[in-house]
Amino acid sequence: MTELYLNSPIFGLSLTLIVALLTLYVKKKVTYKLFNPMLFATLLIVLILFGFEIPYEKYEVGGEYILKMLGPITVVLAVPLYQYRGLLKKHSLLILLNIVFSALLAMGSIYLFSTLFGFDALLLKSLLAHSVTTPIGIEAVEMLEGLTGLTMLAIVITGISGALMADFVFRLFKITEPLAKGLALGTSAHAIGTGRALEYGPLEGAIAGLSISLMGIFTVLWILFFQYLGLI
Amino acid sequence: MMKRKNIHTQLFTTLKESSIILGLYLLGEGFVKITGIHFPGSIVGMLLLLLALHLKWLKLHDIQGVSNFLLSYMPLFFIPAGVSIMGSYTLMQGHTLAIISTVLLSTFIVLASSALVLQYFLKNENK
Repeated sequence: MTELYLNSPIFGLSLTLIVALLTLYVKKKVTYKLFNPMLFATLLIVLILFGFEIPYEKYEVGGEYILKMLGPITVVLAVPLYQYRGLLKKHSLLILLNIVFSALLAMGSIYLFSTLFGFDALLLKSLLAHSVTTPIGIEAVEMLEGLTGLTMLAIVITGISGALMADFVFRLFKITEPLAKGLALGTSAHAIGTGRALEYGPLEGAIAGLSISLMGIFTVLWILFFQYLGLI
Repeated sequence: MMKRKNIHTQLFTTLKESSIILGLYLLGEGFVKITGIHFPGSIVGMLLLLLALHLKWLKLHDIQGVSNFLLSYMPLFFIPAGVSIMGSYTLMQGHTLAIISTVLLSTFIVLASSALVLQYFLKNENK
């Protein structure tokens, strides 16, 4: 009976749903500002899987269905984008330039720390495209001939850490502009950052959503440029 | 009787909105498959929705309910992505700490610099 349940997608789906419900309930009760629903829910599921010695693969069968929903969610990001089109158009050059250089900085900083830590070329190539959304990251790592699994892992770590450190960074550097907050979250932490940006407000979400696609485009263009120069 | 009618209208609206969103998503994925360009279909779908709104083929009202729902709960859809680290952390063999530090530092740098730079120019623009 248990085997049957664990082997079906219903397991991953229902576990996520129950944990998500619990998370929303806890979120309502807890006034602690740094409470992060996504991190809380993720850790809870990991603990449950470890506690009951359930292999991750059993969870993945159902969990994948939830991840598939991110496709339609990305489409819907056009809504805040449309609502704030006037404001975004007004600052379009500033936003565009910022993302062009953020894409370069995301790769440059990886190159710097990889050299510091003495990573080999394969590892470096697998980490380069860490600030883009997963589908673009997969395309990028294939262009670079890196390890796809490692890139996907780096992308997830980037997204979660960016969303988590946003509050701290914004307070540290006194970031108050909604546009700056949303842009930073979208460029550094792609879709997971955009989810966080939407919690700040719709304007933050709008520019973060825009940043995901532009960050992806410019990261790929920079890779092509560096490959053309024969640097990577 | 009145109540039942309301539930039907609500269901119809939800189904209609979902169909529009899913349809645009599939159009985007199809476009990428057919043209063979290396780009996520979901973002093409986003651009299609933007175009449809811009050209007034669709009104915000046509998709408002479902899109508000999806956007407000977006972070929760990433839970399985977080859990997936459990299945792939062995890929970092021997370099775990160094790889995580590299990714964290790079994320911090991009987050801080893009926020600071944009805020700086926005404030100067307004002066």
